Amino acid sequence: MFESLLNALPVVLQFGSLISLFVGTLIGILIGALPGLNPVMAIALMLPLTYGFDPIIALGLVAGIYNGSMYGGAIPAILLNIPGTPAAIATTFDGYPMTRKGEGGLALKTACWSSAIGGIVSALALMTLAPMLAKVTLAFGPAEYFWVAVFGLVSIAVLVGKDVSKGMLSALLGVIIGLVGVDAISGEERFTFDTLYLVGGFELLIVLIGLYAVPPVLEMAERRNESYFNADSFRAKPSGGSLGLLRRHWRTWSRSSLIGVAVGILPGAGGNLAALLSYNEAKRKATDSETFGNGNPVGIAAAESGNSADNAAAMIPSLTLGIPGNLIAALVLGALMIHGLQPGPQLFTRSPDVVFGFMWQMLLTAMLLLLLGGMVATRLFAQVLRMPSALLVPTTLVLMAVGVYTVNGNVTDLYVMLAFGLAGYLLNRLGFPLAPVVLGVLLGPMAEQNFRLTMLIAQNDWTVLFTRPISLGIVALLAVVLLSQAWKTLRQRPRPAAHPGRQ
Amino acid sequence: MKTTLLLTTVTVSALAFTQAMASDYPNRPIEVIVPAPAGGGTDNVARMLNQYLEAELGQPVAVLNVAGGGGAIGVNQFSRARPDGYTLLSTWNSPITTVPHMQRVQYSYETLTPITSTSQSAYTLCVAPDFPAESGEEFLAELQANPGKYTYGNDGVGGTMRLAAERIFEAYDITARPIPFGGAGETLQNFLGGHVDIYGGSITPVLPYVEEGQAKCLLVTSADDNEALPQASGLAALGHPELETVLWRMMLGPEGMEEARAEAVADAVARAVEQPEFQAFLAAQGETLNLVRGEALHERLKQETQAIGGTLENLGLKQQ
Amino acid sequence: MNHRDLFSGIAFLIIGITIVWMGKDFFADAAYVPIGVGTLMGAFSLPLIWRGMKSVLAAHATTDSAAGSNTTTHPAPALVDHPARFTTTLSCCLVYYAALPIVGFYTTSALFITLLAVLLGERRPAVVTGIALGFITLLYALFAVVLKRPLPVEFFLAS
Repeated sequence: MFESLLNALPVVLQFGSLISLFVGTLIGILIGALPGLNPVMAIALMLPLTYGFDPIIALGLVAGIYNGSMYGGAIPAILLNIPGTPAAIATTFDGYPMTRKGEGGLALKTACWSSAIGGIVSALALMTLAPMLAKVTLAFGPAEYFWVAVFGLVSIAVLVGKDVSKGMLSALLGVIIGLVGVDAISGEERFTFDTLYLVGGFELLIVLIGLYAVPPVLEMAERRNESYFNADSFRAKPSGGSLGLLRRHWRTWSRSSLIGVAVGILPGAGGNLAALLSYNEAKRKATDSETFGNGNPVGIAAAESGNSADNAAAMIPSLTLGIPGNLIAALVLGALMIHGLQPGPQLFTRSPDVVFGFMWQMLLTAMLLLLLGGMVATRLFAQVLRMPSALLVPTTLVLMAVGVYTVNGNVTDLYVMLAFGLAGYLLNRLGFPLAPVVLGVLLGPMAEQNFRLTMLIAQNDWTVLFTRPISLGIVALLAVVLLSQAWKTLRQRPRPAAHPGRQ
Repeated sequence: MKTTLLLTTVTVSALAFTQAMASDYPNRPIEVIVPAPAGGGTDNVARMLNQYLEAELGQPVAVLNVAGGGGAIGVNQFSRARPDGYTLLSTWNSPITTVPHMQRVQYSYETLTPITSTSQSAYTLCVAPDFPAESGEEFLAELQANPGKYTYGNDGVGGTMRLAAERIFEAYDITARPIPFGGAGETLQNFLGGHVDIYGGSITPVLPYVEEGQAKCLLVTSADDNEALPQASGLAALGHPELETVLWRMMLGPEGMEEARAEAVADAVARAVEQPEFQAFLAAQGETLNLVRGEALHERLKQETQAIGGTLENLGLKQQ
Repeated sequence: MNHRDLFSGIAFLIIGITIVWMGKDFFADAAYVPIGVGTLMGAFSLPLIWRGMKSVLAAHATTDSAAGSNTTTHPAPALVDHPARFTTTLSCCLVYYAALPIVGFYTTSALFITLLAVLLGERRPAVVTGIALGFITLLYALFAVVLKRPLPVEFFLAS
């Protein structure tokens, strides 16, 4: 295996492949940075152009766009509170507050390094552990997926903030939003109010852009005369060199990267879950957990290394088993098939150069982020904030409109985005935290569907939820997390009651 | 020499010009709605076809993926488009012939302009190597003997695969427990992990595992046997060719699209599928060419819609 | 803040009850989660209502006994800081979305940026037109030329 890895290296270092890595990463950062343009769309558009070339060139582009977009998504998340991709949602939690405090430069730099580290760890996992991890993938059935979702939902306890009932109400609201549409198991319409629009449910990205990106734009519009951003930050060099970052975040990075890889090998779970779980873990572990959500760079480090560590790991089930872990993996499989390579267990032995070459490319593009990310992001995108806010408001709104429109090509989506924006604005002002809403939207349906699938398979025998070894392991982990959280809360009790300030 | 060249160029361009004047279609980019997510089988085939279609039509053809609702979301949106021939639909059969029985939709096979069908492929039912059956007949007998014992993964309520299986099970008086998954990939994952007993889905993803001996496919849902799966029986071999349910793909226009434009697209598709690269691609996907256009396509849609309506009614899945 | 807690609590209680009421009609296992979520929502809204009521009553008591001692309770941030700008932005958005499919993407967007910028108080014509045109050109280059994404067609190009 390691021999094949080394043999593939010269193929990857050819001129054409290197160019494709470079171009791919650059395109990826740009695509990720524009809300609504997602890597899936970009790869679907680029792949046909490469059919005439060597497959390794096509895969180089894919690797670049994939890794680049994961970092690119962090740029609007940090600068404008718009999640460029759904996976960047956890990056907004601390990224945007940092920008408003005048630490946007540091936030971008942290995001860039974190993405690169997450991507590198993930690529290394893909290179060395792929066949082993693939077995884990298969061991996860609906019962285990259910527990993973519950694990994520329970971490709401970490995200709710000080007001438990408000946090829970937010989360439940999220679950309800996630339930809208045709139920995949019974085929029944739920909460569609007989409108055709709601039959398909709400598109995740539209909900996220609405809830997160619209409220700050409205606030910006309201306070034109005061300065909304502390804009000097981009002229000054971020304090502390890269070594400082490394010293500060290596713990977070290693923990989040492991979480990202673990989520990555589960098809269908996705980078947004990886980022949220990493963020929760970082917050739970931190001694200064109350500064999370108010511009703590550790939050960005956790979210970005988590979602990027999902990337290469998500390729493990697709390359080893032929089961696409996400839409990008599905496109890669499609591309391999067009080049006459049959995905599945035989791929490693039949075309090692392509498979191992692709792994190298995932590694190299993660490293390229450090070079291109800093250059493109801080030099180009950060200039956006220098615009007078009377112009920043309408341009941001146009950007969101085009982003939401390109998802489905449907104008109704724009009104829906605005409605979610108003809801988000209202919830904000009434002191309801938004993060649990997102978690509810994402994980509520995942928990529900998998619970019902488990019951269908086991014919309503709920003991299967506890008798399978992996399920039991997750349940145990869940208990540990809950107990430690309870212990932490109890210990903090004696402190004087904090002021119920705005969340 | 030079003059002849010049003359030919002039004539050719003049010809092209008059032709363009005659139809004047298409003269700007065309949008093709694919009611499935990017990266799926429908999307892959549509994008591949578009590449060659662009050359034939002389205009860029952009794909817009509108996924959800078993394809109904995309087709609903499409049915509201202007019938000027600049918005086309590239779909598989289920959103047109099955989903309208189960959900409220804004279209039916009657309100869409038939252009042409493109390709088709069968589904397969596979089991683990230790399953007590070695042929299609034994497989069905085993299921018959153990009602409600086996679970089969499928593509969800109203999915074509589930319907294909239920039609066969109904004829053989079989009760198997359907487990709805998001698609063939998810079904394969759960089948290989041993979480469901039977794989139900398209042929391509499971093929490597058949070669490795980790799965044996015993049934295909087409009338004919499938070369790639020698152990599997086609429905004709079992004496039930009328139960054939396959996945097939087509291009449609919105209601009221000009016939001349529909013809122009159908002609372009017919020329595009002649490309050897496209045919090789189809073969790799396990699909075969199948061109039915215009009225004949309308008739095919009508028949399938009615047959499926009957099956769904028997299953108690039909919505009033 | 107090009234708001009370009212948002009541709003969530109503949503919760509605969800349960709608959910009970769903088929078998499709109903479990909606009913559960609705019930929980109702349950968690009760402490909010209770708290809200308590502090509303307390506020009444304090205003009765000593007017002006309100400063000790935290004055809540206004629901909308600047209603005029807020509604201007919103209505511009609505007009923008309504005009998009009819007039076309690039034209409407350019007009929207210019109009909203002026309404929000930007008075330098060169800056407004410069940024509006630059931004639209950038979008055009990206979406129409590079990515070939179909956006609503301009009214002067539609056939």
